[in-house]
Amino acid sequence: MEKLEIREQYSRALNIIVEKFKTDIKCLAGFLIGSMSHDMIWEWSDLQILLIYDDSYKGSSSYYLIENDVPIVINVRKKNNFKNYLESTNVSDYFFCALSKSTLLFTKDKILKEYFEDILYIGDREREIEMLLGFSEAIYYMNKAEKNIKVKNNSANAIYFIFHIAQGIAWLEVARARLFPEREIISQASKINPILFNKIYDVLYSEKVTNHIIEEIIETCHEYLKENTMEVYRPIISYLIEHGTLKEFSLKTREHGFGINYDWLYRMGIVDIYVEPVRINNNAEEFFQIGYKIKKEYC
Amino acid sequence: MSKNCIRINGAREHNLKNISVNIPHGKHTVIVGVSGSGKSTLAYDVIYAAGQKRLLDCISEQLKRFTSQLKQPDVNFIEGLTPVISLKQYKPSNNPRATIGTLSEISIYLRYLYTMVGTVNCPYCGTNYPIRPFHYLIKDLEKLPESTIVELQFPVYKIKSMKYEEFFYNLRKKGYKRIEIDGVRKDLRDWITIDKQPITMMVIADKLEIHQELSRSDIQAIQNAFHQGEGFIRIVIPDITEREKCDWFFKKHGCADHGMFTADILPSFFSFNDMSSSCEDCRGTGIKKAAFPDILVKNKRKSLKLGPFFSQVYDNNKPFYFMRMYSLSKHYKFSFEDPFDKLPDFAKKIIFYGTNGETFPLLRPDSYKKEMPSYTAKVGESIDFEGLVTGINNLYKNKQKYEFTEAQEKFFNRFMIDEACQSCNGTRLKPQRQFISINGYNYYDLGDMELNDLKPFIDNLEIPPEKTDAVLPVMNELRTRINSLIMIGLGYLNLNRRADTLSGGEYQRVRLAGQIGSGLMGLTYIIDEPTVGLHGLDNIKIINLLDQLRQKGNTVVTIEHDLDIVANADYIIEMGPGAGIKGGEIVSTGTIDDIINNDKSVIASFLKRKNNEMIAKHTCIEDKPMLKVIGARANNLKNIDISIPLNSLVCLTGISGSGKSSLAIEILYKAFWSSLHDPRVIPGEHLQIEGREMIKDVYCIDQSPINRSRTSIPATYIGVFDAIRKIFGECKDAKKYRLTDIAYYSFNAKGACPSCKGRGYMDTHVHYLGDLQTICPICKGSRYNRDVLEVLYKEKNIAQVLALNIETALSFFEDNSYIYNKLKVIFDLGLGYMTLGQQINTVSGGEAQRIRLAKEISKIRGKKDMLYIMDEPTTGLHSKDIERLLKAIRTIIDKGNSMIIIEHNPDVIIQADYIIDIGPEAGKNGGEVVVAGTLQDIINCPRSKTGQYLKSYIKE
Repeated sequence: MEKLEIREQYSRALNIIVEKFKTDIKCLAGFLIGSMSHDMIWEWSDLQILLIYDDSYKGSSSYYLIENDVPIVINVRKKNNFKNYLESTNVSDYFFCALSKSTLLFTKDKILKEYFEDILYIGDREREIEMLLGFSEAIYYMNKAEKNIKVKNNSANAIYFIFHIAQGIAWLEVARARLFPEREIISQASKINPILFNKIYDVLYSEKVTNHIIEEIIETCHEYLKENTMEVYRPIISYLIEHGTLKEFSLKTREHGFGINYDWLYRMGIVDIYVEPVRINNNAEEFFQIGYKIKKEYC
Repeated sequence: MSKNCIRINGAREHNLKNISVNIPHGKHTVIVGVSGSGKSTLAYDVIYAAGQKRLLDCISEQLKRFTSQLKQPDVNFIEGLTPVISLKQYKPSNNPRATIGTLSEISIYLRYLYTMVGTVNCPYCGTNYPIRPFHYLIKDLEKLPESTIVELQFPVYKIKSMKYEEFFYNLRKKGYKRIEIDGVRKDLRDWITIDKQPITMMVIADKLEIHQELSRSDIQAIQNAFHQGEGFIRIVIPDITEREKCDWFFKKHGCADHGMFTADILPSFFSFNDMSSSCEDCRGTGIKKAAFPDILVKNKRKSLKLGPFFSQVYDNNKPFYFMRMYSLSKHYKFSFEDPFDKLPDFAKKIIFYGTNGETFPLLRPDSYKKEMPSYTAKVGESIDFEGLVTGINNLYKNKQKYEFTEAQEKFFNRFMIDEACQSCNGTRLKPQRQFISINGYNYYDLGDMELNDLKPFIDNLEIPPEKTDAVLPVMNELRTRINSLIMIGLGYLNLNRRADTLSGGEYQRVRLAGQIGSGLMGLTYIIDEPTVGLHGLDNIKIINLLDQLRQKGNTVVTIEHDLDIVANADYIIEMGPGAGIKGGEIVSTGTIDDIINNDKSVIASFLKRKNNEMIAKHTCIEDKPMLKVIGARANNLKNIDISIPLNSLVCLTGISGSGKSSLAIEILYKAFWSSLHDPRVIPGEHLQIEGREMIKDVYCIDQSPINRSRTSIPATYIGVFDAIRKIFGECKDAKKYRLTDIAYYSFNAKGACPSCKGRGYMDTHVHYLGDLQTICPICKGSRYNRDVLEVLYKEKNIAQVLALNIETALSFFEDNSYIYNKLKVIFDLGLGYMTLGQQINTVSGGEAQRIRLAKEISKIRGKKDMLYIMDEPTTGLHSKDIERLLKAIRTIIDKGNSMIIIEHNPDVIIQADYIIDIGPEAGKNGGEVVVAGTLQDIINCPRSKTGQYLKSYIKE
């Protein structure tokens, strides 16, 4: 349990330092981020404050201060730099997610406030792409886990991969709920879908894990993904219904994410595959690539 | 004179025979003489080389390492030399970025003019508003009511080759969240579907709260929006009441209705060679490569079964490819066995452009037994077909991201053609630039204007009084440079015209006009035949221009054959008396009167001659078959019908830019070449050509330069060296020494001297003196190794044969008709003195022109019904050489061939059987047939400028 006196001490320190910054005309806004904003604190916590300054600011980007015996970490960003950061980042960025749970301490710029609120909007496109990426991550690790348990009989590796499957599914669930992913994403997703995570994640530390349990978990994940295929792959399936194949299809996803797994659609019997010749280097050799086309029953 | 002149003493370069000559400073001196007499050697290899060498000696040693070292001319001394500028004739390289505008530097000044006096047309409604300096706009923005909320937007444009998904993704990646498409606001974080091509797309960039003094962050935000919008932003005030209060600001600086503003337009915004301003699709070239259906077909009479396409494009021998084409034909119900050209249009469309994603089952023909590799599709499986054209285009698009390999480049050049970029419609610039105009003309429009029209446009431009001081110097530069080009007879050109489409003469004149514009003085200009490509009437323009250069205190040295220029020169140096070893001496020097009265002078007889003596008996053309070009509309041709008599000498005349080349090269040559050889060649616009069945083949000799590599010699150039090497390879000695491989008789291959690698000389770099060439001590200049020189044919080894002059070689090879006939042509053109092994890079311009003619003429020996098209074949030829050329041309016609010559030289025109005069003026005022007929018909036509010129020429 959090101690009340510690919170009071930290609150006092926060008030003092905020009042000081408010007097600086170039300081446009302040955000409280970290545990003090949305979680519990203890004696080893510190206060994390993000200050937004006008672009004429010339000082350092971070300071380590102390007030009322509370260590305070100050991060400073110039207004346009802050806006650029918010604009160019996405839900996969840890700091951005931390900011989404922050508390606005003060602002002298009403545009900035409006701007910050707007940033927290997750559009349909971005939501569906994040769901697809989480789904693809889960499929990738599910294949690994299945191979390790069925072919290599290596349950340790399989458990390792199950954590990743759970993480992929958690990402999907959080995106579907239009939430910003937290650091402890499985815990966040468990609140959205407790039954599923009880079956695929909680059992790993609440019971003795046998091969049978691992196989059951994989089976559950498989079922879950199968059930969600039509919803998660909606952008791709609707394109396929309209155009027949994915030949001209391009879906830009964020960088450094998992690619979209199209093979799953074939595995689920939604698309057929076909081959098409491809020129690699206007080489005389023949090369072929796989193409996907929607099955008639889905048109 | 000895003090105020360039003194050359003891010049021995090439064939010069230790000559000494003076060239007066500040005068126009013409060097004349027959081709090969040493004119160019004196001008370029002595005067220019020495001038350049001395200039380069002035630069630091460090910089010298980055410049190529020039050869020290073989001369005792040269005194009185000033910095030398050479204006030689050559075809500019095939660079789509060089235009008349960039070449003459008019574009640079025009760009300044646009930034200074240009106004903007609102992309929404076309309302005209001014371009403002950024700070000026900020100052007034701060005067808006306190706390007004202002939204900043900027316009964006998608290039054709990019998909909307990628376009929106890129904007989102830059951090933008909203976009207004045709007035409807969309969130880039949601899915956006586009049903029809949007007219305007505005990205919502930022929001500001107005204060009396805008913060640095706000100013930065406005600057960013301007930067992203390429100088354009839109300011929106969402609150209607507030908006009304700010009306004055919108009316003062931008479009009052749509809130568009433009600021800080830089000259570089109009430069298509600046990648941040050029069209993102074509990168400023205005052209895009695209596969062209017709050129993918190798044999249109073959069926799909037999494979009508080039194997690099679609290889029917491969089982999968064969079966796929079969399956395609069955699925779409077209013939697999009929010839390709008999297939219906829809079938060709599928083959070239694909099934558009539709799949079909892979079938195996009953009789087809070849097995497919295991990794390909199985029979019955679904496959699709992207189409041959689409396939190549996609491959090009993918490979374009990286540097092409040699094989790829060859492949793409072979199967793709250049077409206008669809994103910028050939304007080469980003779309935002089209909204900036002067008097309603944007930068591209003005570049498309003929210089004759651009001049009054610039002259009549009204400059706001407050800008006069700044704009005046720019206007003066523009006027001077445009006037120079018009004065030199290039008023029909426009600034957008690509430099590589100019003739050598036009290119040289553009550079010459640039020199006038530069205003430099105290220089020595060496100019090679400035009248090439000019109508006789326009010679006076060149004379005036040279006079201007001279009046500015420059020394002008021209190499010229045109008698008008010679007659107007201040000083004449005649080289000769003959060519090659028979030349290299000073025959006469002095004023025109001195030359005419000099008995030794060769040119004196031409200067004194009565031109009407030249008129030959013409062939009667009434009975001749006619070639008819119907509806010629290429370039400036005005839908004209022209009849051209065959088996005769036809001359196309008219001033530069009148449309001669459009008719002869763009339509006639390209139409025949396209149907007979290469369907990739697209002829100029015309309806039809009647009588094409009478022509078996077509040849064209234009002004493109001959290969002047060090390994090129007359024997290789005219194509007799292979035959000579074969003779050596088959002779007794060759068998005896086991040197039967003909590669031994090539100085570039096995036969090369190991010391000098077949060059015959060694390069030695001497500090301060540049590169010195010395004869190879091993082969003594023969270029061959000792073993090869042991092989004798008719008691001569290969090096001795290459040392024979053409005249001697004729009798040496009289028993070999192939070699003899080829050599005879070159001999008939007056080049009998030239040796078989002389390096082509040492021959003069006139000699090179005749070697090229000889090569082309020798190809048609014995052939009939050929159409020959020549573009100014007399370039670089002395009057005496022209007589020889005309004789050779007559021989070709007498053998049943047809000759069309584009020519300005009156000596040739008066010899023609039929003359077609195109004009009456250049550019848009040309393109008509002024008169067509015999010499008499032309002379009797008062509307024909050529007729009037010929009339006075003959009278003289």
